[in-house]
Amino acid sequence: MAEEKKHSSEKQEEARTELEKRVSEEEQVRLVLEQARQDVKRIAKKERDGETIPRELLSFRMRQLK
Amino acid sequence: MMLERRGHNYPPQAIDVIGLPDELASIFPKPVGQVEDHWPPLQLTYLGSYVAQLGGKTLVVENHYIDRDYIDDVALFYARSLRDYPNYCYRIHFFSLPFDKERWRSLVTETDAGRREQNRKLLQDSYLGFAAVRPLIGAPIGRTVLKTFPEQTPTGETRAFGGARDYTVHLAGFELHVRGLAFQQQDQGVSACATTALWSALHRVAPQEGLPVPTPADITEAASRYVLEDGRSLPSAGLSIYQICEATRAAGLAPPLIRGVSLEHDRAQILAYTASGFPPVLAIQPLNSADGHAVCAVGVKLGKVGPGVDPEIHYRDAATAVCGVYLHDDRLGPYASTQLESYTLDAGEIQTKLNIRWPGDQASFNEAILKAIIVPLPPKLRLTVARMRGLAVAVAQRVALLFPEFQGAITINCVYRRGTSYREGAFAHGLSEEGLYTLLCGTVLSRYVGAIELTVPDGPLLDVLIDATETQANPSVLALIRRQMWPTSALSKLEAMVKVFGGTCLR
Repeated sequence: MAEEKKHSSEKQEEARTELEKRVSEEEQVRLVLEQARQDVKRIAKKERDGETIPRELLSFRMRQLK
Repeated sequence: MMLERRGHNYPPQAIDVIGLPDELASIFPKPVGQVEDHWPPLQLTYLGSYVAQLGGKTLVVENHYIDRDYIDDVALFYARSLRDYPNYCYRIHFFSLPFDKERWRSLVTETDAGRREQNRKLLQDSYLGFAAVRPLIGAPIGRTVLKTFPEQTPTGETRAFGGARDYTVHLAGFELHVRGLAFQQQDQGVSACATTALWSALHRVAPQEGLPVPTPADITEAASRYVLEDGRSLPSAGLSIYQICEATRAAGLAPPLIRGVSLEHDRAQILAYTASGFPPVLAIQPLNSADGHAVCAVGVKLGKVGPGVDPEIHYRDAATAVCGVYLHDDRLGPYASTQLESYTLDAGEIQTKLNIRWPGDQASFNEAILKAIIVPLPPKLRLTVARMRGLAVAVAQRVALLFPEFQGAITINCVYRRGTSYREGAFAHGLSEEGLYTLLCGTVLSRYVGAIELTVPDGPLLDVLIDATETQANPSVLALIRRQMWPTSALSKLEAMVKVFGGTCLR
């Protein structure tokens, strides 16, 4: 009985360690991904500069002759 | 007296065969009394020079050809002139094979089916395309489809003509094919530069969407339906960007408008749209003229991908490889080679300059500033390249930080693909049987998907597929697809990425 209890507690411990390891790995990945997000925030915003259209651009006329 | 029989006769349909003359213009008659304009028109000289560069040796000239675009111009405009403009054109076919009329006769009159097919193949192998020649003074070049330049340049760059498509041509009972994009010269009656640039762009995208290609007459009428800045639509005095957008909408397509920002920004837009089969219209301001001009970008010239300049950014951008663009410029001709450069305006602003050149020559024909990019797109393709790239940089930087061994080696490329084409090519992606099956039979894809492709020098690393019917790239990820170079030992990192970006993990 005691032997069985000990075995079960060892298994639980192993599972906990595995879980902690996974959580810490996931946390690490999460931190890295967050860091990356911060790194490129400015670049991602700059990509959309061309979407700002000044009103006068719509009237830009193309009439170059041959 | 007896009145003449006018218009009762059919014009002769003789086909002539001649060698490519040193000057193509020498077979075109100079208009009587023309003193103000230069003769021959630059477009004729350019066409002869381009065909010679492709290795053209022989011209087959159809004397009576009804061109859909020209006859529409006649119906809208020229039929009401005092001059009796014919409603038909010449059509010149260009071949790299030297042959004379006698040989041509024997090729087309062959009755044995096997030998006839051999003859067709002989002509097909040397077929360079065609040009409709309109009976218009000073503007003879009508619908012209020519083969593009070869894929490799003599100096080691690559040419990619994503704006080209296949055309079927019927000549003397033979069916021939040519891959290119239709070009024509503005006639200043029905069309101006903007009309022909948009017409070329629509030639690529309209057929693949099951839409009819509008003629220049259709475009001019649609563009001037609501806005008439010059007071009248015909003769055409050019179009504004607003009118180009209006004509694009009338053709059943949607035109995102992108302002010219900088060389880095603009070349990325041009690369992504042309590579996806959506040739954009470029609104440009020539440096030597007050008038704006419009051209159509058909392809790009690609050199080496440049290294990143920011030490905190660990990926490279495929768009840095773009060193030139091939334009349909109706002042010159098809596939005009153009270099892209940064240019500082008087106000200190830095913009993209186009240096347009003669074929096979370093001499500059014209320099112009890129003002705007207008892309005729299918209406349901709502995700812009800019937004796709915004997500691409975020994905690439994350992957670079997760795999220090790939830092500085990852290259991002953004492109639209048909969902069906992506599935068709997926068997070669190195996916597991489960992953491949899930992609083919268990993942919903939009008609067009935005594809962010991450590669390393040894091969592809990761594809991110985005629902292109959405406006925002995030959160609209449909799938993250592991490619051959993603390490087998790091599948948990792929799953972590899926947790961040959403979508299905395919590995």
